[in-house]
This record gives sequence, structure tokens and C-alpha cells, in this order.
Amino acid sequence: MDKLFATLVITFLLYSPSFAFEYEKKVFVEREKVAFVEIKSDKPVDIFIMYSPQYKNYTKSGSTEGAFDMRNIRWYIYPIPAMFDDQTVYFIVKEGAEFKVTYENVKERIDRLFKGDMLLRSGADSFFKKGIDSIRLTQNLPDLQIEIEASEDVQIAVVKVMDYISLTRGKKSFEEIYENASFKGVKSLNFRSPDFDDLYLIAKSENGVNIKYKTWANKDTASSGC
Amino acid sequence: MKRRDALKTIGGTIAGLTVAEKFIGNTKEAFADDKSKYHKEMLPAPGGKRVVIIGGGFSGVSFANTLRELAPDAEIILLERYPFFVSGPSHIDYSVGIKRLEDATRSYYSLREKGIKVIKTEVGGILPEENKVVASKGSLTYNHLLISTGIRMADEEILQLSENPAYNAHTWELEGTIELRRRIETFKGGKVVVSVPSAPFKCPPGPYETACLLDEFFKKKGVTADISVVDSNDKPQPPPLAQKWLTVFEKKNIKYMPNNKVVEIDGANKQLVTDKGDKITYDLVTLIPPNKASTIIKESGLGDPFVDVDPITFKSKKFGNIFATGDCAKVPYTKSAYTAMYQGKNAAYYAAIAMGYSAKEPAPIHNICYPYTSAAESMLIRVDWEKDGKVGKTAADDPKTDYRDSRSAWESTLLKSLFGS
Repeated sequence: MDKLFATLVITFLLYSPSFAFEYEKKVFVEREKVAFVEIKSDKPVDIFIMYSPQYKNYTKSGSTEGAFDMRNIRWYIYPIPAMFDDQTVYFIVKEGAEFKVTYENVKERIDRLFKGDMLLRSGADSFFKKGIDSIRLTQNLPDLQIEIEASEDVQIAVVKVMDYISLTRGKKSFEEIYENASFKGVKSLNFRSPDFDDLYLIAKSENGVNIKYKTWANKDTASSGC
Repeated sequence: MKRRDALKTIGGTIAGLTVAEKFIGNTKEAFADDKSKYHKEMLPAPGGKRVVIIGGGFSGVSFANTLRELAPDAEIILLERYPFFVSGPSHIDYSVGIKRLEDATRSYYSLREKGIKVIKTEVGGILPEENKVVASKGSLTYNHLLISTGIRMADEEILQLSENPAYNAHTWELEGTIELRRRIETFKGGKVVVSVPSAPFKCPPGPYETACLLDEFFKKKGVTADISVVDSNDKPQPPPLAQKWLTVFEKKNIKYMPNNKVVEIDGANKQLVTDKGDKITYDLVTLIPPNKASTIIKESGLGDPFVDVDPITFKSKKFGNIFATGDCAKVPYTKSAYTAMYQGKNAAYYAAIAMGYSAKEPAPIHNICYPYTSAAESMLIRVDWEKDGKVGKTAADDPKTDYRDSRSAWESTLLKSLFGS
């Protein structure tokens, strides 16, 4: 039954007109709209997100310098708010992936948030390599709801940049970071972002683990962003 | 937090501040002893209409002036650590020799002439349950309080910077502005890096203006400078100007490096280090540290890190007699001198109403700004917020000479409205 269901889902994804398998995706967002770019892949892929200058450089030299990169991703959703001006953003997935772009009106979305709706803002399903691996959670807003779910029992810590640097430079162990982390848990975690600061999701696993996170905009984030 | 613990925390906070005005004796002991001179009231007990303002920037001064008009018999006291006011938007002008600093400087005497008491002191804490502010000159009881402390530069979030402040100079603070001017004047050529913190930060176009003005300055002087903007954000700020900045950088051959979050300044080797471990070399650097709020806000329980307020009335969500405006408040408005001034004005209306005076509801906040792309041209950005704090209309325009003139008039008008000249 599960296999039949999976086959139906895959068939739907492959033939759905809203998804398309692509290596590069140019996303144009008209002023006052927000685009949600959803990317899916059966195997982990690296995603590079860039604006025109980096894209020009990429087409000339193949360099992804200056791009925002997300590694080992199976599923990703990225918001491009064009509250004030048109935006053009380029997505590069060298191995190819399924893309789907949906658009919403910024003001209507903010109205829905003010009325109390919880709306998905961003998310990723990423493969964390064995040992200690991390991902940067960026474009946060105060009170943004963040949900994290791992595929198996692993310790997850979410910390700010200085703790992350202490770990990457070997000044603190993962155990010390975990002990003092404001946001931590085993397998799952659900909390509100305290402010705009970038956060770093760190996990330690024996064989590697898939970790999925989703961020939800809500009434309390509505005045800061959608 | 117990009162005694709070006082000890405040004592520690003040002791850690670098101010011209030094304490005499042991601060910790002073705060542990309620009878100490440091805890004595600066002024006699208030008569019921005392409003204390922490911070004499655009927001605090605007609040004081407006409240003076709306509440003629109120006792208004402004606490400010600096002896005079220097307009922040002019810092960039000064750093490249467009403006003299004295032209952007005003004294607080025009406020004193209106009966507003201006006390030069450093505030180290707030005790909201006791309606009290604790400062280096003593404590002060209030009936109503405005917190307009502005932004705090979080040097501690850049490794090596707190221990080695001379590694860096930037125009977000007056001292750094003067030092940056000196470094620019003596620069002989090489790699110039402007490092931008994650949004939100004060004066969002500022770092990009700095890059453009440095480019122009060095070209005129015949100094070869390879300028890069190293940005923590994914695009230049504020978002409405992102595409326009990218076009300007391309024309000027300024290298734009987004998604580079600087976490260390290694002055000995002239390198910036990013969170990914990438190293960026420089010969001249101006790094704007992450912008945070004063630590007294969190310690007083009024918000973390910014004061939690209603974005329309600027009233604290915890204490009905406390207001907060500008960069230290959790509001949706741009962190700019212009919105700070209007926030101060609007907050004064709501403070007057809270004090029992009659005042009309003020107009919603808006922002106008003319960021430099060269000494001769500026862009335009305007944002109008609706009554409930939602963004309403926005406008942005390409660089023009007219906007450069508008910029001069814009700042002069702001200063005139605050200080009368």
C-alpha cells in the first residue's frame, strides 16, 4: 500500500504542471508579491541562490562566490519578498531538482497574519553528515515559530553565531555547546526565534541524519515581515 | 529580579561603561548600600508630572520638544551622556570631507531655554516597578519615562574587536568617524573593505553610501583603491534600493560580496574572517558591528533585546507609564534619524494623553531618505506606514543631483525642527 502511495505521489510530482525538473531557475517577483520557491530532490543536492551580479559571474566563470548556498538538501522552500521593488533571483542546482514557484500578495498575506493565521515561511530537509554538522538558519524575525524534526534520535542544538564559532574553532565541544544552548532537544524542537539574529542548527550523529526544519510566520511577526 | 540584585546588576553595568564621566570609589559597594551617594536622588521627588527621557538623540529631543508644547506644566528631564548633539547622518559626509563636523553639531541649550532640564549623565539601569532610573549622577524618580537610548554596537560579536578597538573605525559612532577620516586621509592605496552587519541596523543605506563616497574620494585624489562591500545580508539594504545599489556598484566597479557574515577582525594580519572560515584581506577596513539594543533594556525586563512596545503608541506592553522610540524599540519602522524624530513626536502625543492632557492622534510614521551615490548625487527612498504599523506606500528613485540638494535640505530641516537652527 505504501509503495502504491509512493508511486502515485512520484507520478503526480513528475507529471504535475506545477513542478518542473531544472538545473537553473530564474525567479522574477513582481513588486508587492512574495514568491515561495519550493525545491525537491530524491537525493541530497546543493542549492546556490544568487542575485544578478553573482549570476553574471557564475555564467562567466562558473564560480558560485557570493551565492547563498544550502548543502545536501532534499526539500527546500525559500521566500522572496518583493515588498517594495521587483526582484529577480537565480537558483542553481548542478545535479538538477524539481522546482515549483507559488506567488502571494504581500499585503493580503500580512492581513492574514494579523488575523491570526500561521503561515509557512521557509524550510529545508537536509542530510547532516555523520559527526557534527550544521546549517545556518537565516532571515529570522522575532517570534518566528521554528519547528525542527530529525529522522532519528540525535541531539540538536540551535545557537547564535559566537557559540557556533566556538564550536567550529574547537574552543568548545559539542557537549558544552549543547549543555548551554537556549534551544536544544533530542529528535525534535519547537521554539520561537528571539530576534533577527541568524541561528545555527547543529547536530551530532553517528551515521548521518536527515533533519527537517520549518519556520512559520504568525501574528507576532506580522509587523516585522511576512 | 529583587531590588538589591537589580541594583547590583545596574552597578555592574555602569562600571563596564566607557564614559568620560568616571565614578569615584567602588560601584558595587555603592549600589549595595542604598544610602550611598550614587543612589541618592538627583532631584527632589516629582510633583506628579515628571517625565524622564533617556537619550538625547533625534527621538529623545523630538519627544521633549513636542511634549513641552502639549504639556506646558510638565517637568521634562532629558538624560544624555554626551555634552552636545552631533547629527548622525553627517558622520559619513565628514569622513570624506564633504561637511565640517561643527556644522552638524548643536548644543542642548535651546531645550534648556524651553524649560527642559538636560542632565549630562550615563544611565545604567531602570527599575520599572519603582518608577526609577539609576544613573552615574544618582537615581531619578519619574512619573512617565521615555527610553530612546538608540543602538548599541555589539563589538563583542566580532572576535578580537573588543580587545582591539583600534583595528576598526566606522561612522556609526562619533569617535570612529573622526578616526576613519584620519585613516582615509592617510591611505596610500590598496584593498578597502566595507563590512555590513545583518539587518536590521541603523541607517540601512549607510555602508553602501560609504563605499560609493570612498570610491569617489580616492579616485579624485589619485589613490588606487580596490573597494569591496562584504555584506552579511543576501542583498544591499534597504530592500527597496537593493537593485539600484547593485547597478551603482557595477558602474563604479565596486565588488559586492553578499552572504559573508564577518565574525572576526584579525588586525595583525589585516584580515576579516567569515562564519564559514573564509578570509578577506584589507589595507583599510570600516566594519560596522552588529547593531543591538542597550543591555539595560533586557536587565530591566522591558524586552529582549529591544523594548517591547505597541508600534502605534510606543507604550511598553508591560508598564503603562513607559514609552520607547527609535532604534531601541521593537517597532516595524526603519532605523533612521527621520523615523526616530517622528516616533519621538508621536510618542509625545500618546504620553501627553496618558498624562491627562488633550492631544490629537498624530499622523502615521513615514520615512524619507536620500542616500549618496556620490558627493553630487543621491537616490530617493520613501516609505509610508499605515495607522496600524503596516507598510503602506513606498517609492524609490535612481540617483539625481536634485536629490543631493534635497538631502542637504532634509538634514538642515531636521536639525532646525529639533534645535531651532
